[in-house]
Amino acid sequence: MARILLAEDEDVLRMLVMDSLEDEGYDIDEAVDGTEAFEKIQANEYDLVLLDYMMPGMTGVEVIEKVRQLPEKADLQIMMLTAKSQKSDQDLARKVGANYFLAKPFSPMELISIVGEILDDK
Amino acid sequence: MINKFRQSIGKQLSFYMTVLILLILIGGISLFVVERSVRDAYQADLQMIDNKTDHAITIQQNMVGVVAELRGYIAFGLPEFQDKMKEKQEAVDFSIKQFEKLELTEYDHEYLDTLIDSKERYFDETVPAELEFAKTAQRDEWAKFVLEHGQIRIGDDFRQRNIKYVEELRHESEMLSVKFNQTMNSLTLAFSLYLIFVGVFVSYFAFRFSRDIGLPLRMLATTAERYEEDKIFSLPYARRLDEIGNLTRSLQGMFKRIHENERDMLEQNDEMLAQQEELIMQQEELYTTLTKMEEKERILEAQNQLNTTLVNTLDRDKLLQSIVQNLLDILHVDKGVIVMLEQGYPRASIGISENQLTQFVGTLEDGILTRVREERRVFTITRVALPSEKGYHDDAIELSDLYMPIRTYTGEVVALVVLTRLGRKFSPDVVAQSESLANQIALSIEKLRTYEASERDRVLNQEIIDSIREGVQLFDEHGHLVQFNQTWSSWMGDDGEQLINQKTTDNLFELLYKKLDNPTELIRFIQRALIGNISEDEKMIYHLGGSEKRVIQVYFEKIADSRGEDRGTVLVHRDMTREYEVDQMKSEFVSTVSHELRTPLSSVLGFTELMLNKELKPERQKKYLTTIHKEAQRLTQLINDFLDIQRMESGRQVYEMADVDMVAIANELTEQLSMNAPRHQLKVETMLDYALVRGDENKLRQVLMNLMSNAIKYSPIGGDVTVRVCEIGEEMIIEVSDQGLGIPREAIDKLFTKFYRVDNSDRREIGGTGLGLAICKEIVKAHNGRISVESALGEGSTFSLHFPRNKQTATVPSPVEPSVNKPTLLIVEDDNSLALLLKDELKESGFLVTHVHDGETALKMIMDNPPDAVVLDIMLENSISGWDVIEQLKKNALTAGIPIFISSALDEKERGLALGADDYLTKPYQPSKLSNLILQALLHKEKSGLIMVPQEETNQEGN
Repeated sequence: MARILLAEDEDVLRMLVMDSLEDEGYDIDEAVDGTEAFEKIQANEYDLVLLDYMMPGMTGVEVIEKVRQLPEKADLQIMMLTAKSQKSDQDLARKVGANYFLAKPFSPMELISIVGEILDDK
Repeated sequence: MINKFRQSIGKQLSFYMTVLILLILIGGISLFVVERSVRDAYQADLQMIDNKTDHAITIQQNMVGVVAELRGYIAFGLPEFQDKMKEKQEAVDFSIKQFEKLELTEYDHEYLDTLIDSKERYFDETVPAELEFAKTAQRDEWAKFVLEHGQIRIGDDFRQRNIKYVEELRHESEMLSVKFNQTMNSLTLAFSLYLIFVGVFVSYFAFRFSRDIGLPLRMLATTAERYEEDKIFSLPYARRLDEIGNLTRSLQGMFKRIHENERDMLEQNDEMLAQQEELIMQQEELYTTLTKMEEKERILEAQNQLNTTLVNTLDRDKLLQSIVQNLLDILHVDKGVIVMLEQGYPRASIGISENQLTQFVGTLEDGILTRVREERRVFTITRVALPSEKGYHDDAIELSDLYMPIRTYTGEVVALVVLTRLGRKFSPDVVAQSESLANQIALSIEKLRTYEASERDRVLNQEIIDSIREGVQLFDEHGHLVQFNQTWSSWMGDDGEQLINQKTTDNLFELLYKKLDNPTELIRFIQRALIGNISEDEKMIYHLGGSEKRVIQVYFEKIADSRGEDRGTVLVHRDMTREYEVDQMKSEFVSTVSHELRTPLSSVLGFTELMLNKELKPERQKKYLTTIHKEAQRLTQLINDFLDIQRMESGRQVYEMADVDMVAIANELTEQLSMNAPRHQLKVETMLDYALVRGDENKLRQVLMNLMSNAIKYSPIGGDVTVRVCEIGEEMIIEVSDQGLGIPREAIDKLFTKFYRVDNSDRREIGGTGLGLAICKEIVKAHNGRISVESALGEGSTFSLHFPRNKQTATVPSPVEPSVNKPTLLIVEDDNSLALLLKDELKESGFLVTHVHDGETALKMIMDNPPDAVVLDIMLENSISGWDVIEQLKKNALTAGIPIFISSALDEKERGLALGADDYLTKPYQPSKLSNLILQALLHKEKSGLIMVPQEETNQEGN
């Protein structure tokens, strides 16, 4: 089954996403901050990474920048979860190499369907 | 011809030279010829002898040859030998014949004859005989024959004869040689003698030459050189016909002429001396004239100087000094002073001591000025010199004082010049001159004053713009920066100072490039402003970089003069760094807050949605609901905290002050919190029975609650939570300690800032809004206290609160209960329901309230029984308006001091306050507001010291 990494510092939101996606049968790993997220990405093969924008330590943007520097991770699918819905932040996310993004608060059902689409396409 | 010869030394010389040469030539040639002939003769003789010798030898050889051939033939018998022999015989004959041809002496002939004889004998006898023997070949016989006939001897004889002959010849040749040499020697001798002869001749000639030519020349030369007049005429050469004679005569002539010239020159010299004396006299005259002219020039110079100074100098002291100095020179005076008749009496003087000056200035008004003002023209006074002025003279000296009033065109005397001259009086000319000088000086002083006034204005102007806190720049109509103020210059730092000297826009733009990270936009703005390309409403914001970062807003105004002509542009730069920062902070804050709010909201929405859309097991559902509830609570708390902090920061928080017992609160909270903290031991440690702090009880409770619940939260494994309350000096100190996670050092500084939560994985679970401590800080600050923390990572934390100790331990009446009697209040309101509402509220607040419906009644009641305060409506039915009421009340001394609170639907606050109302509330408003206001006002009046909250605006929403 598809393997997903979730990087989110807020516990409740982590729980929300986990609960939303678990039932779909995905294999989900958790990271509580940017550094941990990057480590895990390097160490493992993920089909999709869900990355929070604002995290302590390394921010989501910084994580993506570092990940995209690794050639083998060039086409790793990354979705940014962001509480900001300003266009400039979206543009920045896109610029550094995020493939998708989702604004908070998001609907879990929507999340489930989008993730499903992404992973089905693969 | 002899004369001609005599005339020319040259000719003489040539003659003698020619003779000499001829002699030499002749001698030479002769010698040569003789020598030649002798030599030739000798050579011929020698040759002859050689010839003879040769021939003799040839003959000899041939003869020997014959013999040899013969012998050979005889020996070998070969016919060749015989042939050869015959050849040789012929050769002999031949050579003899040859010899005969020569010139022969007798001796030679003798020899020849002998030779022939021998030869013949041999040839004719011997040879054939031998030949015969050869034929027969009888050797021995031949030999005998030979011996007999003496052939050998013949041969030998022949030979001997030859030899002898040859020797003779040689001897002869030797003799010839000797003779020849001798001849040669004689010739040489002869030639030498000849040369000597010639030499003698030459010497004689040279001697003659020297004597006749050399000596005279020398003599003439010396004489001419030494100019020995007598001698030249005594020399004997004058009569000679040759060049020497010419020369002598010429020299004589020359000497004569020189002598004459000399005489002439001496005469001339005497003339010149006479002329020279005349010249000297003239020179002296000229000198005197020159001195006079110099004097005049000096005066002119001084006048010129004065003029220049008057025209150019704007420095007051310099001007005055120069005036006095120049007047001294121009008018030939000994001392003088100029005094300006204004405050301070600025002055300059020459030749006058400080004391005299002070005395003079001091007595001016009462003294000479009166006359000066009356006369208004230049006048002189003659007097006797004072002892101090006499110097070292004994007798009385007269002096003259010249008084020059300096008048402006209005006639006002602005200055006074006094000049003193010892001795000569001032002539009318000088007085006239002084008049015109006075006019000049007047003009100059006018100018000075005008300039000074203008300078003051300029300085004032600069000071004014320097005092403005905005940066101001003034550009002229050409776009040059002509002025800027201190503020702007200080923003530019040191470079700004430099700009003072080079006020071009290029330099300005260069400067901006240095000071701004991104100058192009500003520069373009300035350029367009200067040209007038943009409207004056346009503003711009830019950032100054460097050590002090500022955010500046700039706008501009065009300046036009009275005719509407463009005179320039003013640029005003407003430092809005503060505003900007505040804006930044605000938007940051807002974004953080919204972020903080979104998280619990997201979870609430999310989990709710999950529950709605999925079939979930009951445990799952319970879990979600719990989370939802918790998050909602979190949200609420956050919003409350947020609003709290907003209120506190903007100063709109109202604190109800009372004496608050912190010990009691600590105990209450300990009890309350213990219930939900099974793992912790909460206790209060204090020596005090009670600890009173002046403050708002609710808020202080909030602070303590926050600290204590933090203590519990951040020691998740449990432990002690201790509250210590004590008094030290003037302070009340409350400490809350825990044994929990502790705080890392880096975090301590930021601990009390909004939303700050320490970043650690072990805290992640703990949560919180991050506002708690910020709120605590605000509350404590509002109570004149301070909050601090001591902590180290892993070693727990201790938070300390310091409050000023409340000295009044007696119970101070709370504002809710005023002094013994309740205050009386009169409400003037025609709306009953409203009145009722107010009455209730005010009664609860502790007032005795009376209600009337109209103004007249109100006035009457107030007069009879003045209440403590009045609440007045403006729009009153069937009545005079509230305005009239208030006017009346304020007019009357009895009632003027009663506080009046206007409560009206109209918003005419200014009018109300202007008429003397203490406050003005616009309906609708919260009744509690009114009661608060009244309470405040009354208590203020009674000076029982209170609330520090700023007045709320009447249009505010309730808090």
